[in-house]
Amino acid sequence: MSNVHESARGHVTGEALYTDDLLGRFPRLLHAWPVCAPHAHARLLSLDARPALAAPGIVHVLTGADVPGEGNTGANRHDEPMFPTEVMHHRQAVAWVLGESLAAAQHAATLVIAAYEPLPAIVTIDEAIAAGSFHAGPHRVSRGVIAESDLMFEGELRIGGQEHFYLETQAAIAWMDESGGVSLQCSTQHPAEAQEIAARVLKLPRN
Amino acid sequence: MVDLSFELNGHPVAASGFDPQTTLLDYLRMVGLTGAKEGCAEGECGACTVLLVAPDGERSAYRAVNSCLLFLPMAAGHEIYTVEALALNGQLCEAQAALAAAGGSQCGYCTPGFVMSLFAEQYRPGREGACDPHQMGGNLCRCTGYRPIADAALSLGKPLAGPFLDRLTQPAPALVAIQREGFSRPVSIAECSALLQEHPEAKLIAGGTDVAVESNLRQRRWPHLISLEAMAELRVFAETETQVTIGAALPLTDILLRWTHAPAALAECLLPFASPTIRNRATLGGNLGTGSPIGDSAPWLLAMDAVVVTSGQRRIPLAEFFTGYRQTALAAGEFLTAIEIPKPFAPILRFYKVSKRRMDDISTLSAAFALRMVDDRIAHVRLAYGGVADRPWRAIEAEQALLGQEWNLASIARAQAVLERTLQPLSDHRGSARYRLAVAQSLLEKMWHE
Repeated sequence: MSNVHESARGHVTGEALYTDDLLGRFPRLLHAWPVCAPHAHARLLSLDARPALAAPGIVHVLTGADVPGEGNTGANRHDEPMFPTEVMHHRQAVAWVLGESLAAAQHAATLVIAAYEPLPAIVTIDEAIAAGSFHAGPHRVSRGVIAESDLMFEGELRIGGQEHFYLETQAAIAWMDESGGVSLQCSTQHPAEAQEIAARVLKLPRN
Repeated sequence: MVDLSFELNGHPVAASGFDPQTTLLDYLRMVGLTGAKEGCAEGECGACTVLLVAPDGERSAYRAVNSCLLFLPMAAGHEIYTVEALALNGQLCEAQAALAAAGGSQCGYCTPGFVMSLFAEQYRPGREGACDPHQMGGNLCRCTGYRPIADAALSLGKPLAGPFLDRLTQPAPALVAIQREGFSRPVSIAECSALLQEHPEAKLIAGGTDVAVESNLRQRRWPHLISLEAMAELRVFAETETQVTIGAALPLTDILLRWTHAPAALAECLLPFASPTIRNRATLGGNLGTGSPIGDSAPWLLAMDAVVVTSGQRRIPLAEFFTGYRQTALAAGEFLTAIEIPKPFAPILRFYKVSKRRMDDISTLSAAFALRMVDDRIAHVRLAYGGVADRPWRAIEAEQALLGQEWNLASIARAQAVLERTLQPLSDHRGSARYRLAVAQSLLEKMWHE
């Protein structure tokens, strides 16, 4: 039998720690909760955070005005606005409520008044092809000349592949560390990328 | 909310100052027991699984339950174990060692939940042979893959002698009445009725598998909760020559265990109804009382001509119980106490659940059919459906088209034609009206072929 992997004991005993397991280490932590758009595609017309700010235990409502650097968290294409004016998917976050407890933030997120103009949404591949709406330019892998082949097959391939969801919930803890820098603990497989994006958004040097 | 106490990992604990809708999971994590995780907060993923000690006759059994679906006051008086308790003196328990040895964890987030379900399965009273991997059906894993996890279950035999096995020879804790601000747990029907008079706005909660989802995901808050869990009258099971009586608050797991000679259609209905962790808490009273048009138990019970008994001592045929979308014949302050199923049962009984996944899913449509033949003619027929109308629905006109006929494809075609005319299902994200009608019709043929 092969050796048990190095994390196995922590996994089966529950001793392995994930981001959300660390909350107890941070007294007076503020909790952030998103205000989510109820449309697949829409223009955000206005955002009124005042009712949320008046709710008990609410410290701030983060909007685009709070971003010192670039308000975009897209890793490569810079295509994920943190505070979008155009909603691109159902339940996209348009603002974040900061509260003294998770329950307070969750409740206050329902109080933010956001006005939307719903726009037509493309939700199938066929509709996207018809509309010429693509995520990126065409990807081509080519070798030889198909027209000169002895046999030619034509057809259409559909695959049901989808991004799997991670069982660990998306969570991050941020704090000002002892050197005056910003430290992050987050549920990510890409620590360097998260660091780069956080520095870009906060307009801080990466190192 | 004032204080309550329960036993946690072998030690008495007292909790105070919590909102009654705080979940047991949130409480555990707040006191530093972070082995139970939140993955979904709606009882789908099982990362939050813990064990309750439940009665098994005069002895006890460990029941794996979703701690995200248990409000903290519901834990009062219970004996609860989390993953942190299983390794005694640093020595992994067999379920932990087996999962580790089989390579049953990758990211590890789901693993404590799997450990708990597998532990409960290994200690299941009367279990023979290897552990059944399906008992981990309430636990989702998104990266390891189920093969090594199933291997771990299949490698486990009888549990070793020790304190966890000894515990099961003793009775489970008896639940007592509780009266707190915002939460009550009566022990009798009379007490519960009086509470409902006092708090007409109160929400009744049995297993919590539906109510807690509304609380967790939709932030729904109720001024008062009344738990039905400690009412012995609602947890009966009795079978006589003329009927089977099932207490409205008896968990589905107990129905399966205690109804030893049930028709096969009971398991056809209750096994895909929900995962073992949900079945350990969910009740027929909850499933019927919530009045959902897609609850799985209603079509089955409709086909069995079940009668519901209420706290107002009314006996209402289930066919008259549902009065509209999530509407029932219950009066204000009245609640379900039992379900009676008359005997003899129809000799041919089938239950079909059509859903996008076979297990752990909400029905697109469900159907239950009962049939009795006399001299090659249909002498008794019930066709009951879920997911085709605003309420669980009996296709009475189609039944009449079959009555007195031979059971063949020609008769079925006539019944299908009646369904075409009388069935007006909805279109939604689970299925179109056209699809639902086609399935409702073709299930009759399926039964004929089987």
